[in-house]
Amino acid sequence: MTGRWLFTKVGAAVLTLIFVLIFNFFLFRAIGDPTTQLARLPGATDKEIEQLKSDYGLDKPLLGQFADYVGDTASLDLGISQNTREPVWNEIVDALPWTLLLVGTGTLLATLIGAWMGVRAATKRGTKTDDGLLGFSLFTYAAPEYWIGIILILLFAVAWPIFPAGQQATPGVEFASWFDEALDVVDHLILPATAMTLMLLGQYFLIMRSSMVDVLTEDFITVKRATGLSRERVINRHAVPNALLPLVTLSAIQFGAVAGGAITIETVFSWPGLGELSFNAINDKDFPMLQGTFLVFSFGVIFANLLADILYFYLDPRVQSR
Amino acid sequence: MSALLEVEDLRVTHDGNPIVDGVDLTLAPGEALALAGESGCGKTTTALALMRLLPPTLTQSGVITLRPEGVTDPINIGRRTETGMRLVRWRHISLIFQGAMNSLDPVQKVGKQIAEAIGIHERASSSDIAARIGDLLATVGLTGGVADRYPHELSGGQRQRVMIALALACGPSLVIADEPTTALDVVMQAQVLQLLERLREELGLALILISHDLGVLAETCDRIAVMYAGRIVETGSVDAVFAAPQHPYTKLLLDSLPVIGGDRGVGVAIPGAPPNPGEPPPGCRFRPRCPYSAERCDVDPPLREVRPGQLAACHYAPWERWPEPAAAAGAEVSR
Amino acid sequence: MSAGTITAATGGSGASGASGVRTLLFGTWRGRFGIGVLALTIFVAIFGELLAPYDPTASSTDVLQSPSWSHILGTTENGSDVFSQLLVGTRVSVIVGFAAALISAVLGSIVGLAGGYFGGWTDRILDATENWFLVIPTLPLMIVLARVLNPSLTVLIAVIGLTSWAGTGRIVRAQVLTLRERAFVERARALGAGDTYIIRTHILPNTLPLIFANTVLIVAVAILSEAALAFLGLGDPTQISWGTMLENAFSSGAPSAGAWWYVVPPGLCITILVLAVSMLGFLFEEYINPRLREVA
Repeated sequence: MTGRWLFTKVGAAVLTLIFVLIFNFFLFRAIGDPTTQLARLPGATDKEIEQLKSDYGLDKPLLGQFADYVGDTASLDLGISQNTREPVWNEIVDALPWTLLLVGTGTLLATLIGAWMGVRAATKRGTKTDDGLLGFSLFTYAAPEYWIGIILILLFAVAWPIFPAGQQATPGVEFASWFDEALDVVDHLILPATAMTLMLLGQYFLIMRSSMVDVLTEDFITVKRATGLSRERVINRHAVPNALLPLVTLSAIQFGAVAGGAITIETVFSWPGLGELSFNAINDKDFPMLQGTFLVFSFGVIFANLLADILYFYLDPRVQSR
Repeated sequence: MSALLEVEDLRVTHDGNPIVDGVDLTLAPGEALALAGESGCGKTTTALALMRLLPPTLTQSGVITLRPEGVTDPINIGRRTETGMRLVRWRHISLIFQGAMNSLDPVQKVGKQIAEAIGIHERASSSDIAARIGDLLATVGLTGGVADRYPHELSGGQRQRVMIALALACGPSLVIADEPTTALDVVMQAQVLQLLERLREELGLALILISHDLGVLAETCDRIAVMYAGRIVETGSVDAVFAAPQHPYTKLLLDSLPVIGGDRGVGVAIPGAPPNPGEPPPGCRFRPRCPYSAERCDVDPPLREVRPGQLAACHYAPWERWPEPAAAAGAEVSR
Repeated sequence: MSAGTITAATGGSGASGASGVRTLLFGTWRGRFGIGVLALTIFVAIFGELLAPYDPTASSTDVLQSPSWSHILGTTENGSDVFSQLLVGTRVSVIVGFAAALISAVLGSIVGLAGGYFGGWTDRILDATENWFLVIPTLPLMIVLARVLNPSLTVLIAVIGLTSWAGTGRIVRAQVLTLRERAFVERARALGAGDTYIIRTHILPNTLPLIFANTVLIVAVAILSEAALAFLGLGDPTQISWGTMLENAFSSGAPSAGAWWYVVPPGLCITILVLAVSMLGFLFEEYINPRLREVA
């Protein structure tokens, strides 16, 4: 039973990824034959253009080209960056850990803080606390995350220079130990991670609040109180665990937004992750790089969704007996 | 022998509107009291009030005194602090809800839930507790293996039995059962009622059984209190009340019970709906739906003894026999 | 008898219809805020140039000046008046927001309707497409499309519209699936009604309110999307928008220079407009929901 379920889920994920590849492939063919761009180089003869075409496999039929593309992607050959002349994959590999650090920290904090806020608001439903928290979440949802990032820089890196205004580490400094180096990174991480957390907070808060409100209306909550448990224990031991379950799957809604936020926030803070790679690729019209980062972002989101499904499966005893 | 439970002038309001409007109850040890009435008449609110489990939006007042066996000083439930109430709950009074899917924590094994309840009130070793859980489950006719199950893995009937086992876990003197058979089919209903009856006899439990199903109440209970619009309109022994109801509402409720093979066929529903808590009608609250109302019903009737051991809130009680309903009064309300 | 419409189903009871909407819009402070901000924004969007004290593109030597009597919100890195840019830039947000949302609504409705009503392979393919668009990260997708197509206002509207429809599509599909099985549809079919008739008379009227409420929320998303794309350099280079203002501010070093007057206003305008539109969207959703539960 589990095997079949897993197979369907993974199958769907793979299929989604294939369509990303198809999309990528045809989109960039739409720009026009890549060799025409290369052919704009002065002095290119027809023979040289033909040679280029053959080298890049552009003289094959479309399906053949697509097969090549899939094969290349599978072997992690994502092309050469038009800007830096380095393999796209190498640059992505260097950038990926930084994005994961930023996104991971932001998501973790947003989930914890958002869930805490959600419990508070639900147990104090209708009071000023609830209204205040709702208003705060609505504001962070409406405010562009890169604007928040810039304001954070204005406040905490310029007006009161507590934190650095960008990058991931202080340049040109030798560190005594890896621990000091790590601390320096953390120092640089704080502002961008705050921007990312604020961006994601609202949605987690709303989901948790709604989930808690639903759970608190259930009969078993009354029964638990009737057995003599204090209100706090009923909330923490029985309401919250039940309310957390929907949070796991529903939070998957945000994974796409996380990718977008990574791009804009990394741009603001010159954070050397996939987002900054994307931003540079936009400015330089570096299509292979743009294709590559889009692919990796898509893969990341698809994979994260899959993980969320699997995680929910393990957490909810009701789902397991299916 | 002093009463196990005495309730005097229980009132529950929501924003000033009365949900429970002056209820008096008495319960002897081991007695089974039926609490009957339509949805929204205040039965469940009364039950929750007895355990001080009402949500903060509701305000309760009135004197509630509990005298469980083996406890020297009577417990004044109305005056206890929240912390004090937590010691009383489940230890002396417990609660059975409908065994529907969500009366038990869905993500906790059933045995753990019983163990948790015991652990609040007693210090016992885990092996003792495990043994007790086994005994409790056996008492309600379930095997020990059930303890390792999650609620959704059990059938409706099994869940209801688990709820009963849970309710008995700390040896209370009084169990309140709120619609315990509503979610069950007729066969399981009979089984659960038989179980409750047996437990009552073996353990000397007092029972307050809440239901809108008069048939269920008739089988299991000694006395009955009929509620309407937040008040008790009739009370007495089940035999007496069912044989000769003294309040029009009770009469109509009994009339609405279908009788197989009798000359009544399908029951007659009572037209209309209970009044809004915020806007009680003037005079007798049942008047708008009462087919027997007359001039005296302009004044709110008090609950008084109209026959030995039977109280009713109707000016025209005692009713020796019930006349043909006055056509005008009934028509006023039907839509 | 007008079978199947929401007002018929609810018996035209109490707070439904025009009076209910009016109470919601003008009786709640959320509604008043939403309508007020929206009205003001549309006004500024139309009359921006007339209201602006300066030509927003006019440069001067007063570079990055903090607010003063002559420039109430200070100047940009080119010496242009920030306030004037703010006013003129309103238009782009409004146009892109509404146009893209409209495209998204139409596309989503068609897909949802077709898939939900006709079922079978049509539905499977459309539903799979829908799910793909829902999973794929939106901003990266928009970036790729916009970069390939070279940014302009039209491209922005198209790109945002073509990537935001899936949410509407899913909601419409769910509603159509429910309605398709309802008695009044079966009756109509039994009487010989064709698909077009049924869709036009029974399905659409009961789905339009849902589409409307959802589209209002998409407007908010579209505004945020345009701003993000502009910030990343994919906005229309010939237009001023709040997003391009933030882009210019950022790339000219306004944050490190402490030029808060350049940075705060455009973002604040985006935030307030998005808040207003979202509130209206939530209000409509709340209004629609109880009625929908009655029909479904």
